[in-house]
Amino acid sequence: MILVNWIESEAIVRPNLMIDVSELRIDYDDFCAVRDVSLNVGAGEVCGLIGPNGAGKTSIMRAIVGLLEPTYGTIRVAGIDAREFPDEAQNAIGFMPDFAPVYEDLKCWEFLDVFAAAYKIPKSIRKRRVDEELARVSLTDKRDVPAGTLSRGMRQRLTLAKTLLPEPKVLLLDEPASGLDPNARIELKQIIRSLAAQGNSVLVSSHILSEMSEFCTSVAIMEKGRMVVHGSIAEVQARFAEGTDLHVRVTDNAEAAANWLRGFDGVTFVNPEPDPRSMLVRYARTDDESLAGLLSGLCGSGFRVVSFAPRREGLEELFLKVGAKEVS
Amino acid sequence: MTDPSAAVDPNFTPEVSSRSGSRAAGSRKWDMAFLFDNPIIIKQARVRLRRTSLFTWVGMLSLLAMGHLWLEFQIGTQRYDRSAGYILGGMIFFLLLIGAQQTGMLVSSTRGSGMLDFHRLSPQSPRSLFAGFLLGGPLREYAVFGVGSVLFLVACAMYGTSIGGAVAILAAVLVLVLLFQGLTIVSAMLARTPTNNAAKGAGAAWGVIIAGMFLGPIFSNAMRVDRLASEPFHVRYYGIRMPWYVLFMGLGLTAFLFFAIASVRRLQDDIRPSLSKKQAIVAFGLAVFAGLGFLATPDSAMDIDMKSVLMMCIFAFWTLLSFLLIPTTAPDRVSYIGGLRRSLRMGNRRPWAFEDRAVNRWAIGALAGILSLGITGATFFLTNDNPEAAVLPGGSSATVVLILLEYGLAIQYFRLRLGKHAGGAMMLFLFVAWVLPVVIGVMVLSSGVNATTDAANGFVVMSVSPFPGVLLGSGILDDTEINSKACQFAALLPALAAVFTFNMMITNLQKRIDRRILPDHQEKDADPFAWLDQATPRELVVGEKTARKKNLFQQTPVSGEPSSESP
Repeated sequence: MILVNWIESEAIVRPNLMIDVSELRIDYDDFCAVRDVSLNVGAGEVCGLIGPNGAGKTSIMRAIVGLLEPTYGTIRVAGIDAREFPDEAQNAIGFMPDFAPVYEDLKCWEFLDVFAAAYKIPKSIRKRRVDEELARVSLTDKRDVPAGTLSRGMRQRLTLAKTLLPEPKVLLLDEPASGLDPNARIELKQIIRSLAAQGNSVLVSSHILSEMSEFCTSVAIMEKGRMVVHGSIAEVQARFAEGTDLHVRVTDNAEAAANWLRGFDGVTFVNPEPDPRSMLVRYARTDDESLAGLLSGLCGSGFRVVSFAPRREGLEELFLKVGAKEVS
Repeated sequence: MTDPSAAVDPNFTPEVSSRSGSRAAGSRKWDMAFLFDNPIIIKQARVRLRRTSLFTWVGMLSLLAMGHLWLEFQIGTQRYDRSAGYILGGMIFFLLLIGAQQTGMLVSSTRGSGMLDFHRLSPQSPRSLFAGFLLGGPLREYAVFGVGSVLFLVACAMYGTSIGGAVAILAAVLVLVLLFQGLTIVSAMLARTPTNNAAKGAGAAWGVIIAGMFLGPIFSNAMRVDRLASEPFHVRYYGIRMPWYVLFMGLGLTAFLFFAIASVRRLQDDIRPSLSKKQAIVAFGLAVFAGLGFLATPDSAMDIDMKSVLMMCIFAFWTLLSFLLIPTTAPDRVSYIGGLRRSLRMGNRRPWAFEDRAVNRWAIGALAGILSLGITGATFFLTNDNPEAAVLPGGSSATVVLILLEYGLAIQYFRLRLGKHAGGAMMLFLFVAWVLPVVIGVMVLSSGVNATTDAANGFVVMSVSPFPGVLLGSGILDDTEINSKACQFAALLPALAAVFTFNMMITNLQKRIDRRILPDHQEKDADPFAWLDQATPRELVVGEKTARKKNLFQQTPVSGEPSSESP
């Protein structure tokens, strides 16, 4: 009872944080893999953990799930101190490592059934849950196929099904898209989005940044064991913005419009795009008032504007930009 | 799926005893699910109890057993006890060797593939994992054992062998199997490269199968099942007369308990020592107590010379066991510094002496104390009725205890100082201290310039190595050229010097680490981990000269510490 009360009181301090890592340090013998890293992921949030090989992404994930003992630092999962109460914290976590081990001599449903027993799912609903998860990862037709004969991508999906079996509130996915074909990647994105929509928190690391930008709501960029930047994508973009990139399309007189834009105060460059009526414009200001002024000026000069859209930076560009600014 | 409002609700509280969604509540409570709904057993049942493969093995054993029974009937000898011996031999072969090999491969592959991490992340307890490996590993062999047991009892009944005795034999075999399985699981969990371990296991099993083809019939005749079951021999243990299987099962199950503890600890965490310091001490204490039981018998029950030989064997067993237990008590450099940092955080200067991360000085002191008590007890039991009995002289007894201390302190020093290179340094030390004197002694012995003097000197030089020293100094070897007093001293002095030297070096190393950590910690509200940013664990233990050369530390000495070594 004391334990429950204690956990409750601790959880109320930061009720919405499903993953709360602070001042985490991880050492391997004489090598420091993660150095004083803090990371927060709220409920319903999908956080992309980005960094080159050896940045410490996997170490952080393994420390959060309790497979690695950090040198120091605090880790809270769903409000529970994961180092003090690892068993309770693990109940809230689903972890999928970057490689997908399976029991090769078991059929797909048998593999899931074994872990359904490990997760103490009652026998009465075990079969239903196994079938549900197989359907979710589109492996129903492989139900009776030995897991050892599956391709790498299918194994990845089977492992994802295993991870989702206990219905975790917090999902940690380490390179989940590696080995997946385009269809499976689309399915993975949908699964992650639906999990987030249900209020679950997802921490996902991947090198395929273009895809991550489609479902991540926040980003944490790491380099050499340090957290370079962490926050919502909009915050990070705003922090590192050097201006606003705009797609501008006019009905005619594109050349004249480009010249007009070049002469406008604050426009640093105008690049024509393959479509002769479109151009990419870099505007030094980011606030809405300035952007509205630019648009009204363009329209006021007699150009008929079809499209005037700020271009959202992808994670790849953001990563390169952040890397160039902070790491070096 | 989880209700989203539950996560964003400011009054959200984590579920501690119950699980989300469809997970059953209170899974950590003690229940029998770890046996009957054990994932590892479920997995093994699906893989190893598929009908075709199971029937093949059961069929083979049944046909062989019934064929032998029929043969005995046909040729008219009706020695069904021989059939029982064959069946028992086959079952032991299956369970002990193939079963242990299967368990080793299961644990190794589960560990090597990363599946063990999945199990660790599930609500499955390490105890349940151990039960899964123990019972699930050789599942097919257990099934074959079940069928074989029925055939064995039928053969015993046909010959008129005591069924109670036969059941006792089966129970003893099961205890032996548990011991083998436990040992296999511990070994597989301790192996650094799990896949190699599995390969070795497979290779060993094939070797045993080939050997078994030749040894099987010999084994069967030697078993004498009928006599073993109907007239079981009795042993005296602490003066109490009991059938052999009672003592065997008692000792076997106690040993199994420690294998189980070690396995569960490693299944919980791969980097934990297999036994805690306290568990190692208790294990050693029980081993000493168990060993003394054989010596605490009246002289009428055992020949006094036999008792002396038995005593030496028991001493050897104790020493060997202590060598196996000592590594579990010695933390490495990273562990020790981690423990030190934690204790500083808790407001203590050092971890408690019997914590996993504390230096093993007190633990090996306790082991040495228990060994001393054991030697004293053995001497008492031997000389109680017969003051003339050959016992280990005082000098040699002290050497036995010093060997333990020397080994324990040396391993601790090298682990602290050299980290992962400790194994190589320890091997080199043991070669120089324990092997080299024997080699030089043999060279002196065989030089042949002056036969008498060279022999005497050779034995003394050999005695510098502690084990030959104990043997030569004990007076058991009846050779006029051996000066047992000189041999005792030759063995005692280097061991004593090594103990003092290593103890001093560990103390110096601890002081050096303290000097580098404590100044940061002593400042009010200082971050106790600040030193980590300055230095790695390896840098914390390097000598003062190297530290100065690399300009690693710039700190003031701790009050009360000698300052001569400070930069």
